[in-house]
Amino acid sequence: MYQTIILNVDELWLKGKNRYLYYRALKEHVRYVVKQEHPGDSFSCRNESQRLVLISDDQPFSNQTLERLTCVPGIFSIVPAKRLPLDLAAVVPALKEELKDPGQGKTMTFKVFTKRSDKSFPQNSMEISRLVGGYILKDFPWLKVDIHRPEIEVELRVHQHALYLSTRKLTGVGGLPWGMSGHLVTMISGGFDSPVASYLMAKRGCRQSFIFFHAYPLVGDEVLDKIRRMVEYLARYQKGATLYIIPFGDLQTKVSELIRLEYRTVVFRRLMIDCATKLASAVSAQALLTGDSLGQVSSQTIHNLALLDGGSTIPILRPLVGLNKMEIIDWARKIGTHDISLLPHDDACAMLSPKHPVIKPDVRYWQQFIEQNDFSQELDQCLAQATIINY
Amino acid sequence: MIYLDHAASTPTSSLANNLLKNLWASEYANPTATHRKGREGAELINQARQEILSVLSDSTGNLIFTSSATESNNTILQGVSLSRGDEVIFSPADHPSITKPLMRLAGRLGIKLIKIALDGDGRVDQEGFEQQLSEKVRLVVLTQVNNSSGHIYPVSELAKIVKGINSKVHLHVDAAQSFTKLPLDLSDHLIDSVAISAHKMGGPCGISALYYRSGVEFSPLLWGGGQESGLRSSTPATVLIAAFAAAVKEANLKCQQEFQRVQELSNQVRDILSGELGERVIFPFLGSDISPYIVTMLFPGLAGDMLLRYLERDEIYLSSTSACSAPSRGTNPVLAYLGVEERWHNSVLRCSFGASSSQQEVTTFCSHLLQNHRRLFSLMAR
Repeated sequence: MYQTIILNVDELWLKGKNRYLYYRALKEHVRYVVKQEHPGDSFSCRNESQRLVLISDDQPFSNQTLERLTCVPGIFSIVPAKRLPLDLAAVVPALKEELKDPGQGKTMTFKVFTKRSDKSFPQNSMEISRLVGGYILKDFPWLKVDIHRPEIEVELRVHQHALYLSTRKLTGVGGLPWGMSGHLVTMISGGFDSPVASYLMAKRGCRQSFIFFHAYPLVGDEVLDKIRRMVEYLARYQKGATLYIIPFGDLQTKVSELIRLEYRTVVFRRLMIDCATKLASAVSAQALLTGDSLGQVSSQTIHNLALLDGGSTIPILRPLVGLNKMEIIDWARKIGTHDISLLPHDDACAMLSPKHPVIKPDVRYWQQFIEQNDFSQELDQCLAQATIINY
Repeated sequence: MIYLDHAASTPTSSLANNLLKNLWASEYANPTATHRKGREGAELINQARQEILSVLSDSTGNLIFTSSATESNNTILQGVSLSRGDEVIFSPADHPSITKPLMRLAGRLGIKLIKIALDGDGRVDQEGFEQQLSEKVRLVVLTQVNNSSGHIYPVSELAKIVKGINSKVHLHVDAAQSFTKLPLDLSDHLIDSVAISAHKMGGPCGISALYYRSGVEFSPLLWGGGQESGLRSSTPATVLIAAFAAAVKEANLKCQQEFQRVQELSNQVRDILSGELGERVIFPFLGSDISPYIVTMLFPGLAGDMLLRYLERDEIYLSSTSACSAPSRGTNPVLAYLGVEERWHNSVLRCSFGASSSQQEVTTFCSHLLQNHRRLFSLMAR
């Protein structure tokens, strides 16, 4: 349990005069997480030497807080630390609370690594590491030095007002702070791809509103449990998120009766994009996000994607466009969405789609169909009937 | 609103409903208490017990009240004395409250489970059944009416066979779907125990009973205060029990007349749908030994669940499989055992009738079903 956490930022050093805006956004997100995890507790979050230092004035930060901070975009690493006075003699007593003798005569290896951002400290980094290493060897007979592959890394940070000691580090998602890259409407489905796309763009600082097209009565309500679980999981990377569940079954049924069988999937996609664009306008989002991967299924051929983009008035981001399915699944495993995606669900598109959907559409037929059939009113109705869930 | 899922649960009869309303506020005392208020409750319970036993034609038999037919089945399956090597005859098409405890017992005790011999149409093959009744058989479980298919097992006839060959066998009957709908005469004392349920026949949900013949022994499932002759510890639910008995009495009086009426409803569904859909509807279970209360239909090329949801939107409620196995998808082991081809397992709808079902309801249901079927059938990609 730690009362101090050092948050190392990612790529904010690339920023110039607007850097403070990024720090501000990051601090707000960190505060949001801490307030949720420790309601009513007093804490501070200060920028010290281009790092955020989070100090609790009440209870120590919980492991759950550490875990949640690993999901805050913009943070490169999370270092739970002990804040000590600017005195190297304070290190060993503090380390005794941190390190446990493995017993039975076993030994472990360590290395001391020092970062001195306050250059006025009497010793330089190398000297500090050497001095503290000597203290440790004297007081911890079960520890041996290994500077190449140590089992324990003792990290010391010498800041202007304090010395920070840490022996563990958690990796964050990195990237840019939440909201700094605009607001997206993320089209989520029950599969592997869209959650990975959402994660990747969360990492790039995109705030996201989620939209799910629910094809009831073609499919049952069971799928909603899965989608809610998934969005709740993805909301870890967001500072709160909203899910819009759009009733879409009737429109899909209606349009299926109007369009040629092989064009059904593409037209469903087009209507979804139109609906998501309307939502984007309503929630002031600047772009749509999909999990499309080029050529993965028939609606994702370059010809069909061109048809879809042709109808869109705002950009459609497709971060997975060049990834293979297995690469996407590997990402899903890495970020923890794999097992949720694996849960079985009915898919209306699959039910209504022919065995051989169109790959190279007849653009004239398509244009004619789009011009002759205006579903704008129906889409407005779908949006008006959306179920809205906040996370 | 049209409700055609009576095999899952049926509305309480008006008599039972009135009783519930009238007694709920006053009959709160614990019926095992020795004061007058408690004794009043005990009297109501004993009266109910005698009424139900008289419907079962065994005034010397015993009846304990339980919370559900699942509990009644479990009490017997887990309560009768079984040991390693004993054989138990059952049907994989039985309710999960029979199949699951038996599977567990097979693993724990090392008993051998034998699937009852059926002919190709899901009926008991009597000759095969006789051959299965070896000396090692200790327990036979028969479901009087199957909840998925409506198959009626001639339990009294089968009881004669069982006891004629091996009198030591405990013969348990699950009558949850058949009680007060089909005759069940226990006066010959050949059936050892019977599970019955209130909410399938006009009584309230949450109350059921277990009949056992005089002289039958089994261990209780629940231990505690020793209520219900020590065989079902728990404070008895006086009002639910009284309403259960009232519903039993009412339904039993109309048993034959209702059977005829429901037979007509069942025929009406089959006639209308077959006439309109031809080969696009299949009734896999037909004949005189299928309960008219349950009509199982297959719609090749359509998902039963989907049809169910379209009907649900029209406020017509039925089920795509038995409610107790509803979450299972893909292959349905019950249908497989009953001889239904696997490719049709997802295309099943079950319509089940109760006292409130009418010809008008059936006509409206069929018309909505046909309308939705037409639309969905032309919509499905093939």
